[in-house]
Amino acid sequence: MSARLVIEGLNAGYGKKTVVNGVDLVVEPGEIVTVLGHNGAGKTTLLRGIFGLIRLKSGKVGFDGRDITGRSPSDNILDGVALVPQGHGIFRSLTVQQNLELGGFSVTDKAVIAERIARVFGLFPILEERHRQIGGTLSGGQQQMLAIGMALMSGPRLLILDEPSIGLAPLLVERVMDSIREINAELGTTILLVEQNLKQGLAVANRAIVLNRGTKLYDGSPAELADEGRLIAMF
Amino acid sequence: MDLFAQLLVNGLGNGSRYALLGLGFGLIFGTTRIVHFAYGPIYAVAAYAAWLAASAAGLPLAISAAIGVAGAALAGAAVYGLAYRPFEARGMSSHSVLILSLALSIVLDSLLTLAFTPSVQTIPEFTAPIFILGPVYVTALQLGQIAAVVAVAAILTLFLRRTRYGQAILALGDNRDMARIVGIDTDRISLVVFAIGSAVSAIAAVFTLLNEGATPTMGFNPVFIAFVVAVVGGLGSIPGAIAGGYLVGLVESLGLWKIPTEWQNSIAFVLLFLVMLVRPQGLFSGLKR
Ligand SMILES: Nc1ncnc2c1ncn2[C@@H]1O[C@H](COP(=O)(O)OP(=O)(O)OP(=O)(O)O)[C@@H](O)[C@H]1O
Ligand SMILES: [Mg+2]
Repeated sequence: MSARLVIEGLNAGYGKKTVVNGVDLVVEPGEIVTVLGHNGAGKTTLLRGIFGLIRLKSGKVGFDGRDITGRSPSDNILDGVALVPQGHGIFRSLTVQQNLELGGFSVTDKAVIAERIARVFGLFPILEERHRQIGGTLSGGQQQMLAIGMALMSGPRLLILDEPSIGLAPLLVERVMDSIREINAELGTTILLVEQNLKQGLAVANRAIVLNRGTKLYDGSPAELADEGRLIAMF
Repeated sequence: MDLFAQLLVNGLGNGSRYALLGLGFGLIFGTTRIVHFAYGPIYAVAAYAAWLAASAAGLPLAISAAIGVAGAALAGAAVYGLAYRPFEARGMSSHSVLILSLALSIVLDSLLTLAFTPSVQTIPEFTAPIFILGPVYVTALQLGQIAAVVAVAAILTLFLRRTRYGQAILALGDNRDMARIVGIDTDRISLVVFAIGSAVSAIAAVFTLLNEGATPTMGFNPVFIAFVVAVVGGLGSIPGAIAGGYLVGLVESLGLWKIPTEWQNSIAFVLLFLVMLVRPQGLFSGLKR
């Protein structure tokens, strides 16, 4: 069985500046892999490069045995890759319901959309209660749940999340992490997660990656990384 | 009082055209964030296309009008696809795109002058029926303009709410990055928006052709009016653009009651200035699409 995601020598950046420098990474089906790193380490750039939102300078991206380097986001989402971006991952002027429908924009079968909306409501009941509310008026935690729900609408095999817990109160961080576990366990979705919150990010992961100034410093067990000495050495 | 009633009717007629202009411009700007100055010459293209169809080819008026609308839709899509889009793809700033649209507008104006001469072109055999209602004259064109606003608003609303393309347009206008993330082909949607926005403005252009004839620079004032209406109405809202259009039309027309004619063209800008001062988000920006 081929790996879900294979990244080889990925270089990406903005203009002449290289921000992600020769990153290799393999994610196996069913894994939860957490990427850690300082502000500006290049985590977001890595994720956006994988998903096709920015052009790679060089390197390769493979998904389920196929080369998807440079493929557009619309093709990626059709093929089972979804991204929850950092920050406002919703349409703020549209209702919760419209947001979820747009999350499923790549899906043409109305029955499948209805089924997946029901699944998202099962995962986040508050969204069902507020399905007619305008997205921008939801609380930060609810907006994040909506953003995750939108990504699930395309039925991804690989879900990429960019700091889903940022700015959330500790209790809500727990809630979001639990939902990630649940998505992984119940839907079998492979997860690639960027987290600032070390403790939570490591607790949810099967494997951890540390990115520093665009290069990979660590790739291995989260427990070993959580060992004080190593973390201090890295950060 | 009779003069007031007549100015009111004229204001409603012109306001309808302004509403159409604001709807098209607002749709384009609200979705793509491009300040599309070449909206002006494309408005003229619509009038000339309809004029050619009616006078040179001798086609019936309705078909000629449809050709004008289709011509503008094509021209609008072409301007986006051939000019704005390549610039955006290179990561040019919105200022560069703004300058480009001004330059493009000047070039297109000149091309139209070369092709059609600066003189006014009219459809000779056309005269609009006039109805006399008590003290006021109402032309069939004025009624047609009002009907056009109602029809366009209804169709646009249904289109945006009910269709897949409509939802994609709303999504793109809200958040371009997220639109790409959910798999919307933002280039194609922008192209569609330019076509639709230009088609809407073309309806106003055809009425202007019938009213006054076509000139190469006939789009010059309408771009600014469209801009004022869209800003006054709150960019990208359908009810806002309509309210903004009628407001500008009525203020401009009723202003004539007290203000000398030569100031008429300035009234819209004074209105813009006042609105920006008091309510920069637009008068009607709270309204839903
Ligand atoms: N659109 C952009 N244009 C130019 N430079 C950018 C852009 N986005 C990010 N950068 C730069 O690239 C570097 C890496 O940014 P990136 O957003 O990938 O980091 P990050 O690890 O996700 O940081 P954070 O934890 O703050 O989200 C930073 O120095 C940033 O300033
Ligand atoms: Mg980031």
